[in-house]
Amino acid sequence: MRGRNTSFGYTTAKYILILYLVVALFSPVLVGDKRLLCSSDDGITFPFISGGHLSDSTYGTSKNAWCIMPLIPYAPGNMDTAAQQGAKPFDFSNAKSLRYMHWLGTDRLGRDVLSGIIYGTATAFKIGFFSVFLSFLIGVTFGMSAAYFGDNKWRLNIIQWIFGLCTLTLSTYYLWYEFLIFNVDVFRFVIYLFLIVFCIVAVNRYILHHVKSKIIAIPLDTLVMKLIEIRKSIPGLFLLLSLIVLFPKPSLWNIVIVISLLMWSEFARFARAETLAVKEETYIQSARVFGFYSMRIIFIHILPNILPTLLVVICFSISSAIILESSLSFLGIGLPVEEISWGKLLAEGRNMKLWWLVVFPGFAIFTVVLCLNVIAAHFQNIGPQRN
Amino acid sequence: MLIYVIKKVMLIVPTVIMVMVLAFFLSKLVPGDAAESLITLQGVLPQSSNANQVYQNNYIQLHLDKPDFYVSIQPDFYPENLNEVLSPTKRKEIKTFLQQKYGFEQVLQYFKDRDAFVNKLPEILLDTTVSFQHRSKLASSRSLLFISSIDEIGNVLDSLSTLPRLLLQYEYQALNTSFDNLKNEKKVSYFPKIIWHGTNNQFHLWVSGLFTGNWGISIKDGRSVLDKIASAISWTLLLLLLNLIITILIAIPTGVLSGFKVGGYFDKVSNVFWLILYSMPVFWLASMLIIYFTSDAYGSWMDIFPPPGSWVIHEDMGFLEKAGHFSSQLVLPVICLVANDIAYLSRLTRNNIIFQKMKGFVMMAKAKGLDDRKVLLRHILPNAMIPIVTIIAGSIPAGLSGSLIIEVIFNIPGMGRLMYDSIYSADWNVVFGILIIISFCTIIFLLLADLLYGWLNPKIKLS
Repeated sequence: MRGRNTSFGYTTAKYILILYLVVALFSPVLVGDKRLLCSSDDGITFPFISGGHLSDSTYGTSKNAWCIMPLIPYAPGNMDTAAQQGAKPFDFSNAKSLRYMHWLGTDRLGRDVLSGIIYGTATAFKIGFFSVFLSFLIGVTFGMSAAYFGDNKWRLNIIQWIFGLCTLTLSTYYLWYEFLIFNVDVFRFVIYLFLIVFCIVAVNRYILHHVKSKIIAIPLDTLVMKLIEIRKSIPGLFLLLSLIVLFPKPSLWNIVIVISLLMWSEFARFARAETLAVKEETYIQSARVFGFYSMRIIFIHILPNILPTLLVVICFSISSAIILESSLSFLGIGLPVEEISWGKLLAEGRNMKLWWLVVFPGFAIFTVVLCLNVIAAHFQNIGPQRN
Repeated sequence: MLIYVIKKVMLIVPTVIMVMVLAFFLSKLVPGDAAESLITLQGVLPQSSNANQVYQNNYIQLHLDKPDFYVSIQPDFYPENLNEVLSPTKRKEIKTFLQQKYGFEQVLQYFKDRDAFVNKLPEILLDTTVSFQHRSKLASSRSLLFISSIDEIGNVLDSLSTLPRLLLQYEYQALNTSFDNLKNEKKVSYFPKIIWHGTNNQFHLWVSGLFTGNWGISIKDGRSVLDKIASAISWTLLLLLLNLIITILIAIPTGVLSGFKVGGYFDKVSNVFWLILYSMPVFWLASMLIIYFTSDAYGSWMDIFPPPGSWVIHEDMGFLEKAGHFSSQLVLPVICLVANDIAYLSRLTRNNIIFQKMKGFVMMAKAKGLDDRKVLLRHILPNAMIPIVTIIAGSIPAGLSGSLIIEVIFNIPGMGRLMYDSIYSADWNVVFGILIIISFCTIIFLLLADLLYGWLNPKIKLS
């Protein structure tokens, strides 16, 4: 697989993804029914930012006026009255001019498909990146600490155990009531937090130096593995659906949170396996001999070495986050009405029986997922070969 | 072997318990009140006079008056069990006062005096000897029933005190003292109180219901949840079985073929093809197949399959008869279901074959003079199949997730469709029943995959 073909696929996939990213970043400029920049007798204005007070007619009256228009002069939610009943894609016969053409057609309400796809790109990348970022944080923290500390590195004596469990319950209780039940008083909250942390540290120090009793280790690895197992024992889409209904209002960030609650286990699994392999390398051993802190070893010595493998998981996770989000929007759950996504366009196309509403948004999802898979396969092939 | 099996089975017990706890608390967090939705199902109008009584009966019958869990940790000024308050509006009111950290006793006393005061109002309001101005002032004090902000309550009470000849003297004094009491008893700090409720709690009753077959009823049509799931699960299992058979029949031969001759023409083409198929979102494929192949809009020869959603289910038909009746409709969903799985499994088989080919025993077999075909069939294939069999067993539950969206698109009355419909109609009993069933299935399949691996590969048991 390490031949010329793969690298060609990888380069192509990379450039296509970059193109998508550029489109996602510049989507408010590429698409819209407001002019970006107008020069009239009053001077230069930015209707795109300040609001579209400059209509077609006022623009036409001034003599030496010019303006810059967005590439596609249709906002995704706007209904073009001329193109109701669904204009066909690449249909030159009905268009006023090339600028006002619906390149990929419209739906039955006259909304432009291309502008919808471009706005959907931004939504898809937002959800992909943020949910992968969150699940990376959760999963890698869990996985790496589980593998590095193992089942018997964190040792506590029995008194510390009892004290620790009590403080854990108490702090959870206070945080829960302060945050969720009572109106949060930030000042008091900070004082509580400070007191709790201070008590825990002080009493722990005292116990450590003055009380001798039997020592039991925290089975960190077993706990994390159990957590992963619990997450794995509920199929993804079912868990996603039953979590998303808990939120009172639909929003993009709910989906990000729920998807990252779903995907952290994959990061944890891979990070754990990789850390277990890297842990035994000689440079980690020597770092330990030097007496470095565990945190320093984990973040400076281990993390950079497991990143190449995690890149594969990152690519797969972004694509699965995008697919999960579009499945949800396709089912009509999760995203608020004003948010546009590829899945929504697809669902609309299926209901309206218009092929261009199905083929083009679906093709956008397919291309992104394919590119991410190709890149992931590339990283898999060039990744470090460890046993 | 037996000890190994027992050990593995014991290990899933905490997982099962945690999943049940998770599902229970999720079901507690969803919006809506089951006792209230049941009222409309029973044919009682919410405005009618006996609705309150019916609600309270439902509330007790569904054990909603019991505490949530075995233990509760809560601030010391909280009541032992807030669920015991039967009236939903009163419960909500008490909660809003508790959130402002007012003591439970004082809140109850205030409610009592307030209700006494408001109940006396109509008498005065109908009394024509009282001036209209005073009556309207008193009438506005009915708003006490709806406000929970302490400042607003204080304002209303103050405005009443300016009445020249205070009417309802006795009730007003009582209300004022209990309000002052409430105001002065605002908690600043609160200590946790741990209360042990015993087995008479909602979680315990819910779990014992799960094991005795009492899963509650659907609030949509009043049928038992277990009944609904039982009639839906056969469709999902049918799809799963078809998916499994077709996937294995196509994926393993192609995987073996391309793994046998790595870098060959077939390998190259199939690699690209599987990658494309693997990246194809299921719902896109399904939508395109529906658009193009179920109507004659794009030429009469494209109209091959009946449109989805035309399932006619007669209850009297047998399951096989039903399946046979709709077999033409099952073609498209099964194509969509297998697409991703074939690609995944084929790639996996190929990689496993390549991995086994590098092992020493293959070299040995070749050195013995066996031809390639024999080496492949006798030596490589059995060894390569071990992880594949376990992965197939372990990925069956993932198929359940994949069939959800297919069932929704093609309108197949399986578990996924039931889940989707139940979420839309806020039928939480069914939703969390399905979640539990699906998780149990997943846990059991993962266990089976584990045991299968231990059985096929005895080396595992030793470590």
